[in-house]
Amino acid sequence: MNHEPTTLGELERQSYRSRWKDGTLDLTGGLGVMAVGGSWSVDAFWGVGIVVPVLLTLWFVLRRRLVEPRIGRVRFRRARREAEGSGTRGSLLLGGGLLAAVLVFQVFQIRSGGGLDAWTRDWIAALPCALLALMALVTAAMTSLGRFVVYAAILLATASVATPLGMEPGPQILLGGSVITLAGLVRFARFLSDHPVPVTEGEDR
Amino acid sequence: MSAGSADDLRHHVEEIDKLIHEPARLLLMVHLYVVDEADFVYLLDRTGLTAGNVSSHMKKLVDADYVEMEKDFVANRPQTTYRLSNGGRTAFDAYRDNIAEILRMLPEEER
Repeated sequence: MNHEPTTLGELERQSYRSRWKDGTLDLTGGLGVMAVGGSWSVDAFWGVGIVVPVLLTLWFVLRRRLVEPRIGRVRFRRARREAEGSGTRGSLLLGGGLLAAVLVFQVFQIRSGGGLDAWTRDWIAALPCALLALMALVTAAMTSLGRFVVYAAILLATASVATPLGMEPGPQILLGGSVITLAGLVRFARFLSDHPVPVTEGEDR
Repeated sequence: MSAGSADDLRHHVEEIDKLIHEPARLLLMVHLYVVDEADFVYLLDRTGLTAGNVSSHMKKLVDADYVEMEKDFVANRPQTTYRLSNGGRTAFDAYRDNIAEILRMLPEEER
């Protein structure tokens, strides 16, 4: 048993972190990364626009149908909800900003006739994967989940190893995303097996 | 310990809110204190208590007006949501202050 002293604030943070223990965020996040990689690989960026709402719906359905009957529903206090709202808005802005940065960079590259210095040319393919790693770090900061730092490291490691081997950004992202998806699947399966739907005397669920 | 502080101690011990002081109810109150509202299954998951225990202790807290209860249907299933009432929050704050004061009056003896 853990005898570390706790506070009400720490208890609230533990409760908040426990909301994400099911792995559905990892799974849908990993699928999202794979969707970006897949779309990039076939030069069909519009695919991301379709996949993202589908994944959000999938995440919502999984939470409602499989997760909440096992761990229940909670509404956190206003300060937490506001912080979560600002975090989500911040990450969406960051995601949009990063996408814009990649596009601007691409335009710059085309207009300059590929006139980049050698180092930039060699490592430019690693940039999209690195930006997704940054998104994983933002998620880690928002949810206090250390495993998203590991996912960021996986994406960075993939980019660092695959770029010198001449792998294009799309397949790199696809590869990194598949590792995250697999980790999410394992976590989700373990959650379902460790958390049977509780018998509640016919009163609740 | 002086006679005065012994009286103080007795006073504080007598002031302990016995409804909250029961371990299972204390656990339920603490978990409700740090959130706005939570359902029955959430309390089961976070406290590790049995459904029967949660049900009976929550009934006592609801009867004492420390907790507000709302029954609803989500996806055709009954869902009971609980939240601490203002009175419940005040009672919990008073309970914490009182216990803290008792512990302050009982420091470990220097060896």
